[in-house]
Amino acid sequence: MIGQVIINGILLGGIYALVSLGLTLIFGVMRIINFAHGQFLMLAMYATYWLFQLYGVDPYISILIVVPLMFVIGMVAYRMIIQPIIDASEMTHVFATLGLNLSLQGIALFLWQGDFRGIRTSYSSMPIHFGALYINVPRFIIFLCAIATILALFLFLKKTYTGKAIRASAQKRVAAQLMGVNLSKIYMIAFGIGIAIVGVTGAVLMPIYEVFPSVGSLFALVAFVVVVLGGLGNLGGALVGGIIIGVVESVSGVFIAPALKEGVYFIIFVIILLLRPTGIFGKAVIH
Amino acid sequence: MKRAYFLFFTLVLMLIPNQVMGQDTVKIGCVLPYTGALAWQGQETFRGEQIAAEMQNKRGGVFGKKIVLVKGDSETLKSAVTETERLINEGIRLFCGEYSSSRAKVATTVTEKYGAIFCVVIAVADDITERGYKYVFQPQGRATLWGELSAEFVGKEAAPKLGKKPNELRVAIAHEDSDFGTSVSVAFARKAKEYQMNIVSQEPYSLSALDLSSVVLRIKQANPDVLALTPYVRDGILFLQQARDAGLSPKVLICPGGPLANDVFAEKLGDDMNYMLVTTCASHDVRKEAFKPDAWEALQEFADRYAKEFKKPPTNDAYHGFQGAWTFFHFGLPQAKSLNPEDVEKSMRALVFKPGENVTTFGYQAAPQGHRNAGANLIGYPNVFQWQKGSVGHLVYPKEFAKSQLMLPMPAWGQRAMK
Repeated sequence: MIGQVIINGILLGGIYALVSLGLTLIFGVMRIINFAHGQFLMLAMYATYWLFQLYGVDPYISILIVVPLMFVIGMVAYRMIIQPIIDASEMTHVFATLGLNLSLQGIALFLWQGDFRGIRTSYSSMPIHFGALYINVPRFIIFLCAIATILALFLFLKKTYTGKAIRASAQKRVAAQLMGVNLSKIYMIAFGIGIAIVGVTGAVLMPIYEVFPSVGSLFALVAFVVVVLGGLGNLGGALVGGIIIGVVESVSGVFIAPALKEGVYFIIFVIILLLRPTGIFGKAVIH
Repeated sequence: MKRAYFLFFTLVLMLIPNQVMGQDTVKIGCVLPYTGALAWQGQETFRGEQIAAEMQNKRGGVFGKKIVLVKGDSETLKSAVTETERLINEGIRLFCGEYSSSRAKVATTVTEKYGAIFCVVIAVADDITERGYKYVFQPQGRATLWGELSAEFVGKEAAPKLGKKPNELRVAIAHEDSDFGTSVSVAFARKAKEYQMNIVSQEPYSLSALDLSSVVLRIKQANPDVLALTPYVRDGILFLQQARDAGLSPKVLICPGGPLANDVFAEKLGDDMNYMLVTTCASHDVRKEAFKPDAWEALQEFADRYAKEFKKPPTNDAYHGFQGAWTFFHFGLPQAKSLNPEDVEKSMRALVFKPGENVTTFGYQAAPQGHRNAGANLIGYPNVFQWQKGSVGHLVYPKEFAKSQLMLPMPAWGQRAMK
C-alpha cells in the first residue's frame, strides 16, 4: 500500500507544481503576487470545456488553442491592470489583483452561472495497472506536462533573446533598461507566458476536475504554499515544493487521518520556512 | 415647526418596513449561496422557490398581495450574516432559503434576534433547530432523520438483497466534514449500531480537498459491504473517480444526503452511477394515487414549469427549494392571521400534514417550542432513490410511494450498464 500512497502523492504533486508555475514565474520577474491566478485557471478550464462541448476538441488538443488564448488574455490584463500600477506599492498590487480576482469570478458567474461543468473522455476512467499498483492516466499526463513545461521554460529563458531579456529584467530592472531592454514589453510578455502556463494547466485538469466560477480558489491556496515552499520565483522549486506537499498530503491522509492531511502539510510548511525562510531553493533560478 | 413635522414624518416613513405600508407585494428574503463554491446548489434551490412563488401568485398570492423574492447572497458565513442583516434593514421579516447548514445557523441567528421568520428549505443539520429558537422552521426534515432512514433502509431492504443479516454487514462511512456531512453521518452510524452493523471505517475529509485517494485507500483496506458516502457535488465526483481507479466497489453505496442525486454525476461517470442509492426529500417518480389531488396537481405544475423554463427535468435541489417554499407560501403564510412574524410562527406550528397531503412523500408537524428541535419537522423522513438506466429518478423507498424496484447488489465498476 505504501507504494500506491507514494505514487498518488507524486502525481498530486505534479498537479500542484503545474498550477504553481505561472504564479512563481510572474513573481520572479516582476515581483507581483498575482491573486487572480486561480481565476485565470478557471478561465482556461472554461475555454477547454467549451471547446470540447461545442466543437468536440479533446482537452489535450485544446492546449494548442487555449495556451495562445490565455497568452493574449494575460498580456491584455497586464496592459490594462498591472502596468499602470507596476511601480506602486505592494499593497496596491494586492488590491489590484484581488479586484481582478473578484471581477473574473463575477463575470464567469454571470456568463455561465454556478453550474458544475465537467467533460468525460475515454481515458478519464483508464487507470494503468502494475500488479497491485495503478496510475491514473490523466494525472500521469499532468505530471509529465509539469516537467515538460519547466524544461521548456528553462530553455526559453536560457537560449532565446526574449528569455534572456526576461532574466535581465528580473535581476536588475534599471540595468536591463540601460542595455536597451523594453521593460514594459518584456513584462507584458512575461505576464502573458505566466498566464499561458495556466492555460496548459486548465486544459490538462479538465479530464479530472469540474469547472465552476470559484474553482480557482481551491487551487490558489495550495499554489501559494507550493511557491513559497519551493522559493518564490524558482521554477524547479515549484516542482519540488509541489511533490513534497503532494506526498505529505497523501501519506498523512492514509496513515494519520484524511481530515488532518492539510494540517500536516501546513505544519511541515511552517517548519521548513522556520529553517529556510526563503524557501527550499532560496534564490530564484530566474535570476 | 413645519420643517420639524416634515423631518419627523420622513423619519417615521423610513423606519416602517415596506411590507406594512400597504403595498401590494410581500417581500420574502431568500438567503442562499448564489456565488462561490455552492453557487450551483444555491441557484437551483432559488429556482424551486421562485416557481413556488409564481404558482402561489397565480393562486392569488398571500392576502391578495404578490410574493416578491429578494436575494441575499450567502457566499461565505460572513456574507450569510451581512446579507441577512441587509435584508432585515430593508424591512423584510419573512425569510425562506439556505442550502448550507453552516450558513443557515448563522443567518437564523440574525433573524431570530430581530424576531423574523426563517423557513430553512434544504439545510438539514440538527443544530439549526437545537438552539431553542422560536422563529426558525425546518420543514424538510433534519439530518438525524436522513441518516436514520438511510441506515434503516440498509438494515431492512439492502441487507436481505445481499443475503445477509444486518449484524453481518461491514459498513464504511465517508463524509465531508462540514455540519451537513457530519450530522447526517453521525445519525447514520448511530442507527447502524442499533441494527448491530459492523462499522469498519469512518472517514471525515475536508470539503475543499483536491485529492481523496487517501480516503479511498483507507476504506478499501477495510473491505466494506456497504459504503455510506455523504459528499457535496465536486468532492463526490472526485471520490467516485478515485474509487473507480482504486477498484473500491462495495455491494451497496448509499448517499444519506442528497448531493449524489445531481445529474452532473452521470455526465462524469456514466453507467457507473447505476445501482447507487441516494436519500433525498424530492418527490419525483412517485405514485399519483399516494397524493391528494391538489398536491399532485401542484407537483406536476412545478415539474412542468421548471422543464419549460430550464429545458430539463427539475433537479433534486430545485425540488427541495420548491417543496420547502410551497409549504411556507401556500400554507404557512395564507393560514396566518396576518403577515406579522408572531402570527406566521403560530400558523407554521399549527400545520399538520400526513404523507401525500402536501407536495412531499412525508408529513409535516413542526416541533413545539420547548422541544429539543423546536421548529424542525418531526416526521420529515426522506425517500431513497436509486440510479437506474443513467437516471437518479427512481424512487425505491418508502414502498407505498415507490414505482421502481430496488436492484442490488451493485456490480463492479464497468459492469453497471442497464438496458
